[in-house]
Amino acid sequence: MKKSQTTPTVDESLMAIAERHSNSWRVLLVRRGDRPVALQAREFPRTDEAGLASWLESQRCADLRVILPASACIVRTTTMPAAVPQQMISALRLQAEGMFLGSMPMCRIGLAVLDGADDADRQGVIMAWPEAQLGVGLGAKLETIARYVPEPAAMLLLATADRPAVLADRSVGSIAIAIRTDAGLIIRATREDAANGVDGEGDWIAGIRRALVETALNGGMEPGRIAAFADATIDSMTRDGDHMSLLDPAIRSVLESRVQTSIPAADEDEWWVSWATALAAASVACGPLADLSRLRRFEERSKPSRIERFVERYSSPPRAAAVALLAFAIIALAPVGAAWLRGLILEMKMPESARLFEGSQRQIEQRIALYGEVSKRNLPVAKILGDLACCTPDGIEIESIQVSGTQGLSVRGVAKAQGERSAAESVNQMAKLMDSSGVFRQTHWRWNVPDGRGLFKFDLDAQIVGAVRPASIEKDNDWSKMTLAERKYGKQEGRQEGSSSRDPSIASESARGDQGDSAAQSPAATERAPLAGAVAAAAPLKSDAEPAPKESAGAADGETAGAPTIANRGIGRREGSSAATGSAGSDSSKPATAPSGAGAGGGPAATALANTPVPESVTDAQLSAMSKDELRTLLSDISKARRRKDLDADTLKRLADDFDRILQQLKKT
Amino acid sequence: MPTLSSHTSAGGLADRAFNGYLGLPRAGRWLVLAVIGFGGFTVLDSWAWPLADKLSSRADRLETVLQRASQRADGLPRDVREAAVAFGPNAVLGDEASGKERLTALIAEIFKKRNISQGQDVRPGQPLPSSIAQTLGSISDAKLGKTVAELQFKATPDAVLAIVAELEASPEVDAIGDIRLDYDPKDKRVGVQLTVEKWGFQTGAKGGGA
Repeated sequence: MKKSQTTPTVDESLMAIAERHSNSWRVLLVRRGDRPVALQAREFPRTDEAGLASWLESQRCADLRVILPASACIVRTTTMPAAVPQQMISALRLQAEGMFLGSMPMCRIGLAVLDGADDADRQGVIMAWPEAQLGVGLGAKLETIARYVPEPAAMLLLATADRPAVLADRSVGSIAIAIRTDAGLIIRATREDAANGVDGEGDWIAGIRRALVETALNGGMEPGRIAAFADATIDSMTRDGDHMSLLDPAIRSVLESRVQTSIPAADEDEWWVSWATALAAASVACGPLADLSRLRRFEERSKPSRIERFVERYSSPPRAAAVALLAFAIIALAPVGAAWLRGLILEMKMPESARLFEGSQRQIEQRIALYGEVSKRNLPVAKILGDLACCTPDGIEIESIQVSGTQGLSVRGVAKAQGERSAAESVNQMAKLMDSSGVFRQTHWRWNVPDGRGLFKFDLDAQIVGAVRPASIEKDNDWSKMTLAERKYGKQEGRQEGSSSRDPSIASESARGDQGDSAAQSPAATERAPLAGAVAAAAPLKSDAEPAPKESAGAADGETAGAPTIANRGIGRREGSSAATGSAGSDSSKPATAPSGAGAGGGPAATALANTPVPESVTDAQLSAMSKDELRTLLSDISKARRRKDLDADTLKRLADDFDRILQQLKKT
Repeated sequence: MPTLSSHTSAGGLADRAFNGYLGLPRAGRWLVLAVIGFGGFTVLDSWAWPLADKLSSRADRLETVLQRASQRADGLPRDVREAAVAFGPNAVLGDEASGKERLTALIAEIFKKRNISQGQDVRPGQPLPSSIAQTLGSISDAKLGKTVAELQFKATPDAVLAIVAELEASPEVDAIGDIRLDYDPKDKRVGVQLTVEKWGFQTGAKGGGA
């Protein structure tokens, strides 16, 4: 919907004269004319500029003349040469320019030529409003329609031959004096800043008196009369608050001759005295002295740009000071507020209070850094021992281990022949496994002369280069995945590879519950989750490396499941190991606890026989595709299986048939 | 409600103040400007800017904490994961003296429950390089030291390895130093010499370190 625009109708014949007092605005609405007519007289609170503007709008008046205090004006009178009025104005302008040397905008200068007894005796008046003087401050709305009438301009009409006119306002320190003398009109505008308070009153009166004396001296009054004149003038002044005035008692007739009025209150003389300045200003604005009533604060331009308006708006010193104060406050507070707000937003992103969260994160970082520093300077001994165990093949018995962060690994042990593999080959294989594990490097070993049984002692040294790195060990050599029993006798039926406690995922969960409980109970449990998870992930390795303490074997199956890895290798293999004692009946990971099987007859040999797997039946095509070595291996397996006494007749018959077919195939190849 | 311009009630005071300022001699005006400027700068320099710096530093710190936490949420670096797996749980570094107490208590408990007698030499206060303290975020600039417990004992192979594993898995032990295992076939036991370390900040000590 298009916004309806009301075009305000302005009555151009109307003019408002506004006079600001210490607590109020006094406004006279006047209709222009040779003899202007005062239509209304209103008073507004000094703070109610908006009310004044609304009233003017309601009266359709767009011409506001504001009386400028004498304290904000400079007044000069000069004798004019005899010339036509236009030439006199030009001469007066030249004088004004010479007087102010271009420092005063013309919009702030008013020029007028006063009537004289004859053309050769005329006075020119220059009234200027310096830019440094605020005068009367107005809001933007009123400023656009305001022009200013210097108070001394009104005094031109208020001074009579009988009595000087004096207007003084203590609130702004303004003193205006007009005296008609034989030499012409003496007009004075000055400022007297009196101190507030009782003592200031005396100074204020003294200031008025001094101004009167100076003005009288300037007017050529006899010095002997001056003091009496000043005293009489001050004594005759009337007072209304800060406002003091002295006017001719016959001022009503003077003003009535120039201004008409339809205001009822104008019937009283007091009203004419009270509104004398405004009425005189109205008369000035409508008469030949009108140029004195058209002062403007700023140069009039066709259409100032937005920037110009902005600059003008904030050129008012108090407003500029307010803006500067605001800017200072912003400069001071904006960085503080921005930083505080940023911190607040970041705090909101945290799952708990910033202090707790920061503390918990610092702890986590410290723990991570601690891992870094510890891993630089120390070795994970349990893991190294576990890795060493996995690199130790069957046939080697370790007697001494030394692990040092500076000297690496030193092992002393005994090697013996194992099946077709000699003792030396076993040690060589151990060195090879260690070098390929990624944990050890530059493994070398020395041995002595073998004894009569083929056993020889050896010393083995290696550098530890990847202490924390997961060892690269084949599944068949990993004790945590394949126990000694499984290696020797094959996997037991119904037993999955690796016990459930060795399943990394389950072990991790278990570790989270067991080992990570301290972290879980801390305030930052959530944030520690990655660390706790990483720590928990240690469980499989650690459980691999940790032998089960005998005291806790029954309670912690998850940990004891890995016990044979080290306990059955190296140090504890020959004597005292659980493999030898065969005591833990239900734990299938322990070799001696494997089910003996029917007909095994007891003892290790029987146990091994009972665990001998029965090879699957093979077809002729499969036999044809096999190499000679494969055929021999299969023949050996079938031969071992046929020695089992727990097999049924069909199986034995199938094994016999297979045995014959393999023999035939061997002969062919 | 009346519109207050800058020259109304409050403006009266401002007008008088400004007129008073204009009434000053030139040197006085400069002096007033200098006093206002110096006062403003003093307020900014002694209060506003330090406060803003303090708040900004805090916000930077919180941002860093959040960023690091976010990165950790994506996963720990491989070396940290491997170290955590290899060394087991650790604990935030604390006071060295209390760490020593907890370490000795742990050792006593482990050996007591296995009914094993151990030879023990606990040496506190061995300094660690100051670079480690910086790495570990010593906010108090305290000196970092380690308590080293040298243990000697003899036990069955199972017990030995259980003890080693339990020591290393405990948060009260930051690391196991050198270890020597010797099997004695006569009594079928393993003789062990090992050093156990617990790190901590030394109370009252500042900076430095070996």
